[in-house]
Amino acid sequence: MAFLSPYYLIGLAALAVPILIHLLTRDRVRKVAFSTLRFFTQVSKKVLRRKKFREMLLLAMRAAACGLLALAFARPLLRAGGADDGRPQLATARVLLVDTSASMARAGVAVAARQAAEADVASLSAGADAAALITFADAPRVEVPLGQDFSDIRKKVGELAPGHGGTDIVEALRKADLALRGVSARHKEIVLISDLQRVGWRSFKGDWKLAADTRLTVRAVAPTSSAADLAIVEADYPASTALDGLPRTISVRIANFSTTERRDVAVTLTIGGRQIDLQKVHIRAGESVPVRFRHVFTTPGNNPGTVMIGLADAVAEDNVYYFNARVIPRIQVTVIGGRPAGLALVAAAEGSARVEVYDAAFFIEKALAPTADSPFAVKRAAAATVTPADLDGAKVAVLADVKEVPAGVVKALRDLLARGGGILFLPGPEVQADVFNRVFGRLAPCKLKGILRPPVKAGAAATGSALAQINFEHPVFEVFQHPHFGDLSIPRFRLYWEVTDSQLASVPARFDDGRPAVLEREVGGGVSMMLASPADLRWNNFPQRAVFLPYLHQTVRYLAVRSEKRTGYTVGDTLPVPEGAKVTDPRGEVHAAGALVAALPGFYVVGMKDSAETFQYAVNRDLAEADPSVLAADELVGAVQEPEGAIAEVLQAAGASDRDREKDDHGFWWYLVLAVTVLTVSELYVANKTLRH
Amino acid sequence: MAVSSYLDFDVLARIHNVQLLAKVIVEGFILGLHRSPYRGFSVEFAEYRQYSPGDEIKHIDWKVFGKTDRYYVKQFEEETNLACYLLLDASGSMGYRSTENEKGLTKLQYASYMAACLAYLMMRQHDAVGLLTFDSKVRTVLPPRARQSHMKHILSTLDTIEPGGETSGAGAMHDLAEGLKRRGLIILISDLLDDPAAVLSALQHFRFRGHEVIVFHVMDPAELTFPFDTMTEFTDLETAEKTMVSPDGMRPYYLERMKQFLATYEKGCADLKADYRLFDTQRPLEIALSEYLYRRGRMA
Repeated sequence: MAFLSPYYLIGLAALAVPILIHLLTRDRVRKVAFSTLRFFTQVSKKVLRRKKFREMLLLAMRAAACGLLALAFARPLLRAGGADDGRPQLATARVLLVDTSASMARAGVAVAARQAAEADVASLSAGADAAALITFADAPRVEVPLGQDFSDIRKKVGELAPGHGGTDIVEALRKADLALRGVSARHKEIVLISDLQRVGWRSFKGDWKLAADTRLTVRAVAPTSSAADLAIVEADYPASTALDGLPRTISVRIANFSTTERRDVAVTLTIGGRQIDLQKVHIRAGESVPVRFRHVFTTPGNNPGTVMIGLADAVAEDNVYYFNARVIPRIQVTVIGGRPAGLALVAAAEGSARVEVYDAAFFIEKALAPTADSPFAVKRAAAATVTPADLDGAKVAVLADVKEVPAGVVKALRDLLARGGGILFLPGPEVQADVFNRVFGRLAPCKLKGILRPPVKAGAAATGSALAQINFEHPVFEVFQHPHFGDLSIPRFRLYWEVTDSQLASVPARFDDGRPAVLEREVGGGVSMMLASPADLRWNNFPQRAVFLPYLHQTVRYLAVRSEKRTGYTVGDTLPVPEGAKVTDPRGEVHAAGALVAALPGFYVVGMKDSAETFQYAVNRDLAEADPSVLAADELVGAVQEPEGAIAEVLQAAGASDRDREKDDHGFWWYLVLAVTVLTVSELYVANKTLRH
Repeated sequence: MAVSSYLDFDVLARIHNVQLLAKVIVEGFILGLHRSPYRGFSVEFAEYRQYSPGDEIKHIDWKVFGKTDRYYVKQFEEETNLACYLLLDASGSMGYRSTENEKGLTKLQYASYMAACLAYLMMRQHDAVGLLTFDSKVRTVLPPRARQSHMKHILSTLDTIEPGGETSGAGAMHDLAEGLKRRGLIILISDLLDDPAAVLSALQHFRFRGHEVIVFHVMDPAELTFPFDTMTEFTDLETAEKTMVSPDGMRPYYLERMKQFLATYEKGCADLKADYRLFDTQRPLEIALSEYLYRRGRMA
């Protein structure tokens, strides 16, 4: 609250007058010896209380009258004092939004940003303006909240330094806009000091603008030198792979953001501290080239490595890419067979014949572990005798033609999914739909409806259905994408299960009649898959075809790698740290327990609490941050700021509203005078009653 | 003619000799009367006195006139049948004197002066005067005598009397009523701060035995007007009980109760055909004497 004539507030001292009078004139108790008390009544006490109350009421009324009179003369302006009362108390409220992303480390950019910020702080008037400092990279951070003391801002601006994070201008603008919301100022302004990387604008969907009374000023800062800058802008590596002796691809894309062609640029692959490969590439100005390395990972567990550009340029940080390929020594697979080997009736041209059939897991076991050095360690179990212990350590369980399993095993399967493992269902003739649905309904990607025999055209041989509509981008099928890498249309399926309740499942492959052949659904932390026909020669010839083994290997690997944790992160991400573990960051500092925000690119080594085993997170800066292409300041302002005319209208309307309020405020003292009058009249009335009694 | 016209109460208050005070008041009172109510009842000659206007002509001794050529009237030793009892309340409440009346008299002092004056006057009339002082019990009893020496006993008793105890004289009065053989005049001087029914019952007892009864109700002005204005802690002079009172709030109730209290006695005495006079301690004592003489004349 402000006052037009604050000196009259001295009159508040008049509050003491009625209090003094009250103290000086209050009844002092006399002591009188009287002839008799027989004529006294108890009513006296009641009257005594009433009188005391009236006296206090009188005192309050008199004091209030004096106080209100002093206030009235001081001419109070009710809404003048509050920050949220809608009246502008500040001339300018300015939020300095300074980019501290990794790209600001380029030559001269950080210095220019600091100078721009200092100039913007210096242009503010102490006492009349307010300012805040927000820095941003991947996420905005309020360094100094909005206030009228600029010393903290000056200090923080002097300490500004680029970090390792990416750029998100949109989120930063939202934060700054939020900081100015509700602030009472004649001019609200956000000053964006940034190199205006276009990548920082990628999250903008065009559905948001600044507040209608807020202006955006852009101070674009650019590097002082145009030195050649190469950067790794894309990378891919096998985050998790099986120890199968097969080469894996580590690929990066290197971009030349300079204006000169770079020749014989050395790109080095280093794994486990040992240089594995070196390639030389030519990159023309403004273009990018992919670089691929092939490597056979032979070390189980962590395989930390880097891909590095051997050229010193403007920003060294974007010349290196960190990765950690986790190698699973041997994938533990438990194959549960639903049917033992024996004789079965098979329809033949000359009639039914009883032939010997393999047990349900036969082909699966042969495909997964053809030799002793297979990447899969297969454990077999019969559905009738399987126990939860058979699933200990397993990363994948294959249920071959299994109708049901004991309840304990169902729970063990659920636990397997929970820890990121996988289950492959291959329902066959042994399976009964209702039993299967009841036992495995929550684990399988879908429910079974009935066995189907594909329709046979008149006069044609019953060849069965083939796989069709295959999603070759799916990890299981990607190896079959290219010619001569296996033809999945060769296997023929004479019988298969029709499925139902598959809404939650994805279908990477279908039969040629359009019905789902391969289904997949994430359950818990793992994945459940189903091939709607078993590895059984009575139903299909899939086990006898060459694509069966790679299909099964790909499927089991796909299901198994989910059990491995993610190893790659970006600066600014939160790294999951198990309870009790300690994390050593790239600088060698040890952090105890709890989630840790990755602030630096490099390797974060997680030491487990009760084992010598370690886990490494590879943290990279945002690869897009290397892209120096910039956004036009006008384009940015036009996208988020209301048109100047609209801002002027809003401010004009606010000014008119303020004048109205001011008029109201100036008349407020009359109400106080009225209140004093009412109090005085009331005081007379109460005092009269009090004195009479 | 009133005593107060030439005898200021402040002056009276300074006269500690009760006898002197009584004499001053009574003589002044008698001299002020236009017609002396001093009537001779006796036939026994006592002395001569020079005639003064107002004396009965029939009492002029013409023989002496013949010898001296001056008018002398005969003075007779009066004989009286009247026995008068002064019942004086000496309870604690009679010791009250309001702070507004600091130079004045306590009720007991006022009552004592009144008793002394009455006794002096009665002695002058050759009536037998007795004195009985009481609070909750009888303190002193002086039987009625007409001798001048008896006056000394009465005055001596009045001089030494101190307020104390509770007002509860009804029992004593009943005992007295039972003990009196002759009819006489009972003058009760009290603040009557007792159970009115008991007091009136005792008075009725006197009336039943054929006594004339005069009640001089002595009250302090403060008791009648309750003039207090600030918060006051009152202490009962008789029971020492204390109570905090806001006089402003209490006054209407007090005055109403007091009014009822006085009305009770006034009506009760009227019913008993007893004279009732209310005195505040600033009221002239002559009224008490007039009352006595009026009642005395009626009895004659």
